[in-house]
Amino acid sequence: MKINCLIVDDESMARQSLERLCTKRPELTVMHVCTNGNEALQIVESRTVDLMFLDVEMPGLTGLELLDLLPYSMPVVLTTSKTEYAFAAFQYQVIDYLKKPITLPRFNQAVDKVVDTIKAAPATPPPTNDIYVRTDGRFVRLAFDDILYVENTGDYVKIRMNSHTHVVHTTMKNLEEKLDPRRFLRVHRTFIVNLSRIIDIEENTLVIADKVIPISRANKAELMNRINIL
Amino acid sequence: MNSLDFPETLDRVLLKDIYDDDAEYAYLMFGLFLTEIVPQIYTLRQVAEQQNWPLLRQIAHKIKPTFGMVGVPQMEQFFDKLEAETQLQSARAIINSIDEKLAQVLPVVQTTYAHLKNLQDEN
Repeated sequence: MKINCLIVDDESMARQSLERLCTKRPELTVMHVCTNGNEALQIVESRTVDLMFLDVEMPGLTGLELLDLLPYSMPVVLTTSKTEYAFAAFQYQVIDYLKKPITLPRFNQAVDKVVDTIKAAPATPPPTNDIYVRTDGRFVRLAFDDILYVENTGDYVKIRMNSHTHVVHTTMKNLEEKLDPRRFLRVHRTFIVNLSRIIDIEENTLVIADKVIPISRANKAELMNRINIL
Repeated sequence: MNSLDFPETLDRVLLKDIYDDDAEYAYLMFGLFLTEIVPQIYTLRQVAEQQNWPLLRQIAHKIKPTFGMVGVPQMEQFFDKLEAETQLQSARAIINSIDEKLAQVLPVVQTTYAHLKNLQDEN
């Protein structure tokens, strides 16, 4: 199990302490460290975060204000130097509430709770036929059937539809996890294709609409297994 | 001090709970305390004299838990008081107490940091 963590704290020592503590648990991967709530909100909106260690009192957007703005639910562990936020932690249904300085036994206890919570969640997400992507400051619904292919361009991915291309700030891995694996397949390091939109396949390429897409040697066999060949 | 044995004047139980046997982690945190937190403590008086209470509260809040990271959690009480302070005379008195206590604990923290550095250099 890999749990992608986001650390949010305005104090450098607290951030580095949490980063260090996370290295002690093999399940945890620190995907990003933020110094304020606004930066964290941008990360949460563009990537999938499995667990957030969130400081309560920060200048600007506070931890509790950030919780109100989250676009999707995720396990949250609040970190604070005050005990008076315990009731708020209960109200927001966060997984745990760690008082600074954070000791190793309490950190491990909180992570154990997170792991238990994630394990208890349904193994597969409910079936869905679409995905919402944030583009131009709004969430746009894209039906899976209308997606032709996805192309990686570094920090962004291009989602090619019939009549439009959406550019989204995320990773191929994150997007791939959100797509229906029965309909989509990664055929190359930089391309995920909608299998039902393929027009033809040659030796190392396939065509969707007017686009010639490379097929990597490693993914060719999986592609040929997935299509219905006469 | 042997290996990760901390001086008796520091809260050894708390430090054991925080660092266990991770000397590199302790070295990193003690170093950050000395290089980043101590200079902030010395800004408190100026901010109080300017009667910039929101900023004073913000700085005090950030500093408070870091004393636990170096085994001196008893200092937190002064910062708790300072966070709530909006009177210059009272703020001055609290900052005087902080300076007085800091003068006592800082040499111990510095010695501990030097010991941790030696451990790192040996490895």
